[in-house]
Amino acid sequence: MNLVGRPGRFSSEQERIAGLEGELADGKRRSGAEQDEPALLSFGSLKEGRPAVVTSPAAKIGVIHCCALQGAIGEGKTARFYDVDFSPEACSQPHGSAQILGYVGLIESQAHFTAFPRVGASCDIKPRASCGSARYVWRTKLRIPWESRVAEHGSDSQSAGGAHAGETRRDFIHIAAVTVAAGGAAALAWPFLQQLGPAADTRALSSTEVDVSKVPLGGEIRILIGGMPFFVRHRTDAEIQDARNVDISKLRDPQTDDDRLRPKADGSLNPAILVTSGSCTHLGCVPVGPAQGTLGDFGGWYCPCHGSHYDTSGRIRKGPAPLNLPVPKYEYTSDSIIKISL
Amino acid sequence: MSGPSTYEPKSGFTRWLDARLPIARLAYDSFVDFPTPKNLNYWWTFGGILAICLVTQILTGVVLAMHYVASTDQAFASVERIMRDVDYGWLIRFIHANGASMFFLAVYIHMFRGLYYGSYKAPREVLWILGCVIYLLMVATAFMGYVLPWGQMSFHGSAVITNLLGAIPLVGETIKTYLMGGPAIGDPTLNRFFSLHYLLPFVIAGVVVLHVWALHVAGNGNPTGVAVKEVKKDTVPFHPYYTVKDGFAILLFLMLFAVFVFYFPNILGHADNSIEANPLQTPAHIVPEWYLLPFYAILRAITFDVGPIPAKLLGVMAMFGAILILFVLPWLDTSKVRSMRYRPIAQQMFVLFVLAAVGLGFCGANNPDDLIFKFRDDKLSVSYADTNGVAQARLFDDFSEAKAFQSSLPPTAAASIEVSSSGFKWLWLSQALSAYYFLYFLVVLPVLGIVEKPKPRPASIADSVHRRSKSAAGAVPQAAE
Ligand code: HEM
Ligand code: FES
Repeated sequence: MNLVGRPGRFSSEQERIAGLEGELADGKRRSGAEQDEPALLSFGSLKEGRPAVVTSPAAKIGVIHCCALQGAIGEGKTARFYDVDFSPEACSQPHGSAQILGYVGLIESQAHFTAFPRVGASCDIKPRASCGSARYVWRTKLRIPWESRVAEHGSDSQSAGGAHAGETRRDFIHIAAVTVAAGGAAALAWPFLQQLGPAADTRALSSTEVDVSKVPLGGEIRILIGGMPFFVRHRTDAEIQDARNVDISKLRDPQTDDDRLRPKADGSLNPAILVTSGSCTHLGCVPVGPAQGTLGDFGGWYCPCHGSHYDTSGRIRKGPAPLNLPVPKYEYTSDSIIKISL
Repeated sequence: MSGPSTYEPKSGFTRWLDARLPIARLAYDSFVDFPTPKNLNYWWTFGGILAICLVTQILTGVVLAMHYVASTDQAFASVERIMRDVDYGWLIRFIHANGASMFFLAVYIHMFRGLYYGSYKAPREVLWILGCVIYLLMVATAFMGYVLPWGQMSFHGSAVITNLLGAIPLVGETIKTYLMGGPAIGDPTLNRFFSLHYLLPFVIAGVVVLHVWALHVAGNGNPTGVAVKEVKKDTVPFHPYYTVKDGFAILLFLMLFAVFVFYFPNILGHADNSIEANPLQTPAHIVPEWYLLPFYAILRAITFDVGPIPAKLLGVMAMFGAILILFVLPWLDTSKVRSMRYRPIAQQMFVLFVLAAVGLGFCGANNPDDLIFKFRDDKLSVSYADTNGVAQARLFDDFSEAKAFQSSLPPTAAASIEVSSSGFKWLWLSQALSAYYFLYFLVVLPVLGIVEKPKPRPASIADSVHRRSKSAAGAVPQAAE
């Protein structure tokens, strides 16, 4: 907290608790002032008072007491008062009125900026002997975060307005600020993450229509949808028979040939046309097939990368691949047109 | 100024790391416990704001580059795709485009701050020069970035600027050809501009590190220009005092930024750039982005040859000179007093300088031959050749009179009627303001430093703070005894 050049005032509640008894004019000594009374400050106005009525036991109050100012003035540094490095100090012994939790003294300290924000932590100054003085003086232009100071130094944390020790307004501001910043960061991160996903035009390119009547018997066509390969194979009768005559209980990924077909609009299956993904279920190579002249040991496809063999239904029969070539989402939109979607 | 480090590693790990790579110590000493003058005002928050701008540009730029295609066939379409199809692409592009403007806004304020408070004077000359280097790099980056969307203004704007370089004697044509990679702006140009536009911000980041390093050697200046005398009295630690102050300023700045991004995303741009580049058709008015307008105005203000130097070359020299002169400013200003707070005449000259710079921006946006205001109402002018064949002109208020006069002349006079206006041209304003721009640096600052009598300065920063608070306190009515 920068006390210097940062005028503040006692909050109204503080004024109420510790009502003012008098005011010292700038640079003047109060009439009838005692010898040790601080005065002659050549800046701002001085207010002098004593805690008059302390309304509730929960009320917190901090008092900047005279000895602090005296210290500053006594050394003839009146003009330098603004530059005095303040450090809060508290007297632990109760002072007359039980409701006064502690006294905040202002004294010159070595390290204003390190000591001040962390009250108590490095408050290396001893309470002054004259803490019990009945007169309190403070400057109107000084603002101390009362709660925090007093709560930490107060003799009785119970009466500290229910504020748990260490839980201060500053903590609240910290937590609130960090929370808002975190929320902002998350809101900012979202679009930055989201832009990495497929864009609208990419998403729109996710289906293709194929005229299966153009696929030669015994051959296949390969198509890319959004960069993903698919096979559309026109199987011979022999190939269909091979696919059906398999004991599926022996398969790694058991599926009948019919499971791997999609019905036409009238509900019938068209076993001549087999549609599968063109991406090996091992690590994604594209298996070779009829067009490349290699069908593998089971007449379907062979993956050259690590030697997976697929049968004429696209089922995995041998090699490292764990699953059959997946059958994509597709439907017959007419007798010979299928629409494949990702 | 930094003094011995006060960093104390707290945990076992930080102690271990500190002995091997004291990076936490560096950060602590630079941004936590760095002693900062206690009297910095909000003009000093723009450095932090600039750091935010740079990070913003790099982050959004990297994202845009993921979707952008640097090819003359696809660049424009790929940008449209970013705007329409890429999720939040519009947001990221608007942040990047408006971010460039915000960056320049901040850097201009930052530089004017330096000019006013004499931040360029000893011992901060190198700090200032590094700043100028950053500014030059920013201009280059912005210029090349503007070419990338491949709109009409991108294309023809870059054609104008590259052609400028052709004006340099002897080497100009070679530089130009090497810059474009061909006879005209095309695919090779676009690709190298993209590459450099990606590279330069990281170069800027590197120079910013040097800039901050130099800052931390000399320490911050401050509005009084009085050096820190006693660290304890004159400074406060950077954190939390200035992290909070800078943070607050950054928030306000981001709010302004957001207003542009969300409510006026295109207001700083030019409509012509929404049309794909067409090398066969130049837009009616070629203007650069607003932040380069003052220099554009200086370029166009030179319409006359000086001795053997043709106007075109002179314009280019003046334009670059306007930036390069900043590099030598520390040696042009002869005054020992840093802050213009205490230099009454320089203060006024500075205000005029700011007005001139802003005014040049308006000049750059307007056609040089347009009139700012008219001396008289428009009239009709009948121009004709008299019997000796000498060109003559006569002014009329009324069309029928002009027409009658025209018909009264023989056909050999080849009389024609046109509108004649008379007024103050933007060109003249550009010339006047450009002249002041250079005079400020070359005459005003060198001479003022010698002849001006500065006002008394405070003895120390603490003292200036004290006095200001005191006068504020003195205004409060005092209670009677
Ligand atoms: C990428 C652009 C830039 C960044 C990120 C940047 C960053 C900073 C930062 C963080 C500071 C310390 C805080 C402050 O004084 O505001 C600073 C100070 C300074 N900058 Fe920059 N800056 C940039 C561009 C420039 C330019 C273009 C110039 C001048 C041509 C410049 C001249 C200075 C000077 C002279 C100071 C020291 C001022 C002082 O403390 O009195 N900077 N800069
Ligand atoms: S990728 Fe097909 S076998 Fe490994």
